[in-house]
Amino acid sequence: MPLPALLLAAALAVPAGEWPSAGRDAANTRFSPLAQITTANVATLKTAFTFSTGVPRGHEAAPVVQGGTMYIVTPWPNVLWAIDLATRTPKWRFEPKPSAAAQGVACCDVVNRGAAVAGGRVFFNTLDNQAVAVDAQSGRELWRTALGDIRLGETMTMAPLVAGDKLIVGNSGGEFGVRGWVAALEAATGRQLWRAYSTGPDADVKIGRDFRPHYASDRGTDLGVTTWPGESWKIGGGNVWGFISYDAELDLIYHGTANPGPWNPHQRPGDNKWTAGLFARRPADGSAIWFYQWSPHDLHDYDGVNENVLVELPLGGEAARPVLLHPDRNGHLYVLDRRSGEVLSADRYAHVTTTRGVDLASGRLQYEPSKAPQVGKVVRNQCPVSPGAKDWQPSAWSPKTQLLYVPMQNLCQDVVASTVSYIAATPFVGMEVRMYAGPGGHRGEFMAWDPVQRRKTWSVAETFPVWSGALATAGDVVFYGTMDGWFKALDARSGQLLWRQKLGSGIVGQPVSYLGPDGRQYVAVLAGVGGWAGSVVAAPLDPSDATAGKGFAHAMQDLPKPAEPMGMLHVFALP
Amino acid sequence: MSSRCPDALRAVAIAGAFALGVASAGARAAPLRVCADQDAPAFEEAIAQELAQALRRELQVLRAPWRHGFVRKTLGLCDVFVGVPAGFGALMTTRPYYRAGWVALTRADDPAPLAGLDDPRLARLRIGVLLPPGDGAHTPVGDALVQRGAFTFVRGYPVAAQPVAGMLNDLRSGRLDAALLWGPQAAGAGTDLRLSPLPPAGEIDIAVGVHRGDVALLAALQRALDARRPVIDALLDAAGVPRTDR
Repeated sequence: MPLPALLLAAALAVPAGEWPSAGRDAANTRFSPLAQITTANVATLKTAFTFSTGVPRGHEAAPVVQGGTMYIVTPWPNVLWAIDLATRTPKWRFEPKPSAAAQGVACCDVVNRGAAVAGGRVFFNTLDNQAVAVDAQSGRELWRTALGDIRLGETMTMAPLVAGDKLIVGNSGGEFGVRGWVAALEAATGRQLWRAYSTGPDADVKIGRDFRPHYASDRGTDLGVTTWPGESWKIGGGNVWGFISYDAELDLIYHGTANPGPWNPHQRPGDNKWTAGLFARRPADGSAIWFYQWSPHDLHDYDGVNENVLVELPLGGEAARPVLLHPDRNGHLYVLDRRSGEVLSADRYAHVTTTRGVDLASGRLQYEPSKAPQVGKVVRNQCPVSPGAKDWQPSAWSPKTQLLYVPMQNLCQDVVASTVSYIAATPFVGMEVRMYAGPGGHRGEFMAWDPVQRRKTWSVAETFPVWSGALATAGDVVFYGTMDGWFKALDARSGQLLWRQKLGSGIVGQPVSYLGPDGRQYVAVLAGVGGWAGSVVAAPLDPSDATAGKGFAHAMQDLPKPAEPMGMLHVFALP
Repeated sequence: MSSRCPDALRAVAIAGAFALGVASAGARAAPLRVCADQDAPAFEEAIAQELAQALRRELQVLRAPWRHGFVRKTLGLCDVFVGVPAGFGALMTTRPYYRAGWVALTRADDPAPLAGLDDPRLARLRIGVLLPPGDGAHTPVGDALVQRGAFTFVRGYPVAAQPVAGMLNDLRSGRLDAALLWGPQAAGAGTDLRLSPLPPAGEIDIAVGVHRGDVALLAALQRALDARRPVIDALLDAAGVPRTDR
């Protein structure tokens, strides 16, 4: 099949050998146009070099590459390393020294999802809510902007997006009642240009006369207030901690909003707008153009922050319809027209019992009432689990194969009982959750999805949830890592395993590919197990406590302890 | 790296505002390291002092924000946890030393205060409740409100942001009609406020906890609790704890 030139346009906007942001391009394709490493030769892939970050815990970041230098952000304390790719030694390190107290409020390990480099500046966020810019050459701090308050439970873990002369960032912390927001900073100075909230009056949400959502349920005045009881929108969550996409042609940024929190669903009747959904906004002033809600009145902590991959597909009579692909935690893989927010298709890509599909006429997710959580009641076999059919771990799109490569969980959960779970001067009751393998008995999966045919092209089962990102390359090789430390290369068209290597720790990072100063193609990934799924070994959770890690520990009891406790960069090349 | 020591250090770092209080007892045995939530009422510390004296050990009190994972985050720093629910899953607990429930605080000068959870005005009154962090976490009294259809005027106070002080301020200034609190939390709130029990919200037995497997310490603490029963009862009475077990 000839390479469709238009489909490559977004990928080609970035020089072929570079990987300047977590998603590589603003479309979040995670596709490298490099093709030295192919299905024919990948079996000979060897370690080129390694580098210890000197920091333990879950390494979820993408190592980003520009101008012969690689930039790595570690988990807290968020050390930024610059590595000269010619000498394979550090050029400098920058320590932002975030507050130690931030560790205690991070919900699911003290992760960071990577930096972005543009215009000679490296941008990243610290766990204690600072956006920082560092000179890419010298490692000198250019500016830092404090954006939130850890004392309220607010943190930042997301990878920033550069959109033109702006840096787009957002917060985490819905489980503490932190109100979600997305903000644009001036890339040159760090000055905040605008901030849009995910709940509250239209003015706060930046909903104005340009707002034209596709579905009637998203039209009305101040829905961010009226779809909540009383004033609970003020502590309603809807945080913006996922990857953000940008379509320069339509001049729209796309960002998900997280689950409504921290109330129980029963305590917040209503659709709880604008949580668990997706906004398209103008980067100039933040004004909302459209919104779509993946999970209205989110019952299962499904969030809405999974990545949106911007691609063009032959759909609905158009040869290259601008769409976005979104594999949601709720188990549906959505194709939306990214001009309008119209859902073109929403298909199950995992085992789902909690909902009965998406009604395309209203756009509405149909919940299965028997699987809804009820205080004090046992509810069994909820699939997918709260971390979803897939959590933050980003998928990759190959314009060559026209397939989306998706790292996944295959888990179900029982909500067994409500028990006193902790006491902050007053006893609180938590839902006791136990997660376990879904149908087939495996807990993870890596699959290729055809969004036009709306089906899996191939799929491989994995023992553990696949918590790493995916990487697609023009050599028709796709890469991902497993939580027990295997870094794998598969044939992009068949899913056949072509190569694998065992690393010193489990992999929850995002693999990337770049062209070295020597003109050779490299593949790089951070090992360092952790994150929500890996907290059973990264944090001292008691695996015999089935409900530790919000129930995830129960499904991860046999995850091996890493041989190497520190995060480690592994870089591979052909001999 | 061995996990124990760095985790302990991290726990100290986590708390940020850890207060380390050392009380003198003149004993040579290793100090009894007692952990409690940073907002735990003062009588819990007085009870810990009684227990330490009975065990002839010096008391060290570590106060930190009790959040999800508190027991594991303070691993290596605490031997004893006071004021925990009996049967608390992460610990082994003694027999309870008191039982309490939830209460409503209203203004003493309110001519028509909230009359319990079955007050027909429940869904129309402005009611404050604590809001725990964590998806799916809730308070029994919050559930009781939901079951009675009260959520529109219920205001949640996130635990992260000094909720009790905020709630009492709002009650006194008239922004709330009632503040629903865990009984011991409401003890000693002031004479300008009226405290009334809310029996339908349930009760919880409160005990002393130790790490799993620390059987000898658990037995010693049980003996101390039994021996000092009258003193502990007096401390609870002096603090005005609205007990439901007597």
